[in-house]
Amino acid sequence: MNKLIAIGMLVLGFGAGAWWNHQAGSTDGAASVASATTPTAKLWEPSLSAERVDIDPSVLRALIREEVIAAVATKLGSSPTSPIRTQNVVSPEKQAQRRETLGEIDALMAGGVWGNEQRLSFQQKLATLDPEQREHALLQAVTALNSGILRITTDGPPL
Amino acid sequence: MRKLPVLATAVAALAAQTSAYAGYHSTSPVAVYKNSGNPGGIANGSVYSARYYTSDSTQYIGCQSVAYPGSSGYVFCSAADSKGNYLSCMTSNADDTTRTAIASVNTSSFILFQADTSGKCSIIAISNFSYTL
Repeated sequence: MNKLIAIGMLVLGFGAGAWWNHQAGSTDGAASVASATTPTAKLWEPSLSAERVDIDPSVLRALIREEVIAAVATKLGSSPTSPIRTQNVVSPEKQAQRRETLGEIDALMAGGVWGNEQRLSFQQKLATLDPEQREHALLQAVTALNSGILRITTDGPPL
Repeated sequence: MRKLPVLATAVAALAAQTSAYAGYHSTSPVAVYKNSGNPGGIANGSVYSARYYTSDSTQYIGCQSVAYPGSSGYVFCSAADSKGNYLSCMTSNADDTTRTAIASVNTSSFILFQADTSGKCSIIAISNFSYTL
C-alpha cells in the first residue's frame, strides 16, 4: 500500500513538472518567434526551464554553410572565397598533339575520297581529341559527306 | 501415284508459309530529301525494306552509338537511297532517351532523322512495328 502511495506521488510529481515546463516553453517559443526577424544567436540564455537552448535556424544554417565551404576549399587546395575549379588542365604537349591531329583530319578530308582507310584513320584520331574538338571534326566530316565534297567508298556506314 | 503425297505436302507447306505473313504490311524503302541550297535534309526508311524489298545495291539506313570510355561519345545516323543520295547527322549530346532509342533498332525498325545545316541531328525517331517486316 505504501509503495502504491509512493508511485502515485512520483507520477503526480512528474506530471506537475511536465506542466511547468510546458508553460515555460510556451513563453520561450513566443519570444523566439518575435526575435526571428533579427538574425542573432541566443546561446545558453537562462530561462525558467534550466538548460534550454534557443538557436536561430538562419544563423545555424549560415554557420554550417561556412563550415562546409571551408572544408571543401581545404580539400581542393583553394581559398574559401575562390571559385571551385572543375576543368582539367591539358599539358602544352597534349594541346600541340591535338592540333596536329586536327591538321591530319583536315588532310584526310582534303583527299575528296572517303573509304575504309579514311574511316579507320578518322576514328583513331577522334579518340585522341577532347570532346569539343571531336564534335568539331565530326561536324566537319558530316557536312562534307552531306554536301558531296567527300565521295563515299566505304563498306558500310562512312563513320 | 507416289507423286501425289509429295505434291500435297508441298501445297500444304506453301499454304502454311502464306499464312505466316499475315497482318498489315508496309514497304518503306529509304528516302532521302536534301534541302536545296544547304547540306541539311531529312531521311527515313525501314531497315527490313532496304534489305529485302528492294532490287538496288545502294540503299541503307541506320544509326550508331559511339562511346569513348571516360569521355563523351556521339550518335551518328546515315542513309542512302536507291539513287545514291546520301544524308547523315550526328549529335554529341545524346540524352538517355536517344541512346535507348538507338539501342532498340532492329530488323523491324523504321528510322527517321533530320540533319540541320551544320550536320547536327535535330530529329531521331525510331519506330518498331510489325508491318515493316
